[in-house]
Amino acid sequence: MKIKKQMSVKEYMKINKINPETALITINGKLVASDKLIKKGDKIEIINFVSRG
Amino acid sequence: MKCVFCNKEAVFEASTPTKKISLCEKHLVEDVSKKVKLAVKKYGLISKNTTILIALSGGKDSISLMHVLSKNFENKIIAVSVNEGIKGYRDESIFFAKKYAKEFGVKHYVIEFKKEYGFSMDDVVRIMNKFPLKPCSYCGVLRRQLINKFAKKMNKKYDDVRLATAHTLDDEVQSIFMNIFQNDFEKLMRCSAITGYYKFNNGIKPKDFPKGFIPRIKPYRLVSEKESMAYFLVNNFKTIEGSCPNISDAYRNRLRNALNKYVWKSRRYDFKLNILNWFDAILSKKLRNHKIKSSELKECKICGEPTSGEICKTCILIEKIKEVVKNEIKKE
Repeated sequence: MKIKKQMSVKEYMKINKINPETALITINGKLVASDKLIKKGDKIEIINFVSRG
Repeated sequence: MKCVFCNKEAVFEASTPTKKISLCEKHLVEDVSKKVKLAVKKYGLISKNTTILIALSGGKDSISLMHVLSKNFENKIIAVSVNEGIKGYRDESIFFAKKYAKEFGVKHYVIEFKKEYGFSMDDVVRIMNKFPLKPCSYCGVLRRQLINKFAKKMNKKYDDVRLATAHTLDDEVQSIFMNIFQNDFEKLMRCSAITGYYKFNNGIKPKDFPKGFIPRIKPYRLVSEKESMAYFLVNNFKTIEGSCPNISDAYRNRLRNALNKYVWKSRRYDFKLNILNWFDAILSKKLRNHKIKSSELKECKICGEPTSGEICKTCILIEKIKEVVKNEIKKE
C-alpha cells in the first residue's frame, strides 16, 4: 500500500481502524513504533497475525 | 520514540503490568527471551537434564520459540512436526520448520497421518458430512495422539523428555475464558504451564508424573502473540502466509476477536497478563494440596496414555474415524 500524505503510524492505524492488538505495521519492510512518520511513497505493510489454522 | 534501555530508535511498544515501554530490535529480542526464562523459572518447566521436544508447526510462534530456547538454554533440544496431509498448506509450513531447525542446530523429525493412520486430513475433509464435528476437532485429536506417541518413543532414547508447545499468553487467556464460559471446571484447571494436576510453582520432578505421561510445558506462556510476531519479524524469519484451508468459525476465534477488541477499545493493555496472574494465583491454591492417587489412573490398552477407563476417549474417537474413512476410501 502506498501512502499519499505524511502521517504517523498511530494516525494511520486509527484512520484505517486497525486494532493494534491484532496487527503490526512495517514501513519498507522494517517493523516500526507507533510514532514513526510515514512519508509519501513509503511502502506500508499491515501484518495481521491472529488468523491461523 | 527511543528505546528505554539504549536510546536507539524503538520498533515496538511492550506492555508491562504498570506501563508501556518502547524497545529497539535488540531489547525486544532480550525482552522476549527474559519472559521465556521467567516462565521456565516461575513454573519450574525445565530441569538440568530435561530434553526439550518442541512441537514445531512451522508457524511464527513455534519457530520463534525454537529460536529463543536454542539461544538461551543448554538443554538437548529436538523438534517434531506433524504432516496431516493438507495439500498446499502443511507441506509449505514443514519446509520452513525443516529450514529453521537446521539453522538453529535442532534435530527435526516429521511424522505423517498417511503413514501412521492410513489416511490424510484431506481424506477426512472429503467425507466430512459423515462426521458430526468440524475438521479441526478431528485434526487436533489425531495430531495430539501422534505427538504423544512420538514423545514416548523419544523418552526411551533421551532423559526426561518434555513436550514444549508455543502457546502464547493470548492462547492461555482465551482457554481460560472459554472454559469459564462453558462452565468446564476440569478443563479450566488444566490451563496450567505444565499440563496435568501437579504441584504448582515448586518445580516439577519426573518422579511426580504418572507412568507413561509426557508432560507438556508452555515456555511461551508470558509472551503475547504480538510480541511473538514482532520477535519473528525483527529476526527476519519467514513462514507460510495465510491460514489452514480447513479452519472453521470456531468458538475460540470469536472469543479471540472479542478479547482483542476489548483491549483495544478499553486501552487495558495489561488485561491479558492480569487475567493470567489472577488465574495462576487461584490454580496455585487449588493445586497446593492436590495429590494424584495412582489408583485413579490406568493405562489405555491401545495407546498407553493415562486414562480413568480401559480405553481412552481419544482412542475411541480415532477408531471411529478410521472405520468411517477406510469404508469411504474402499467405496471410492
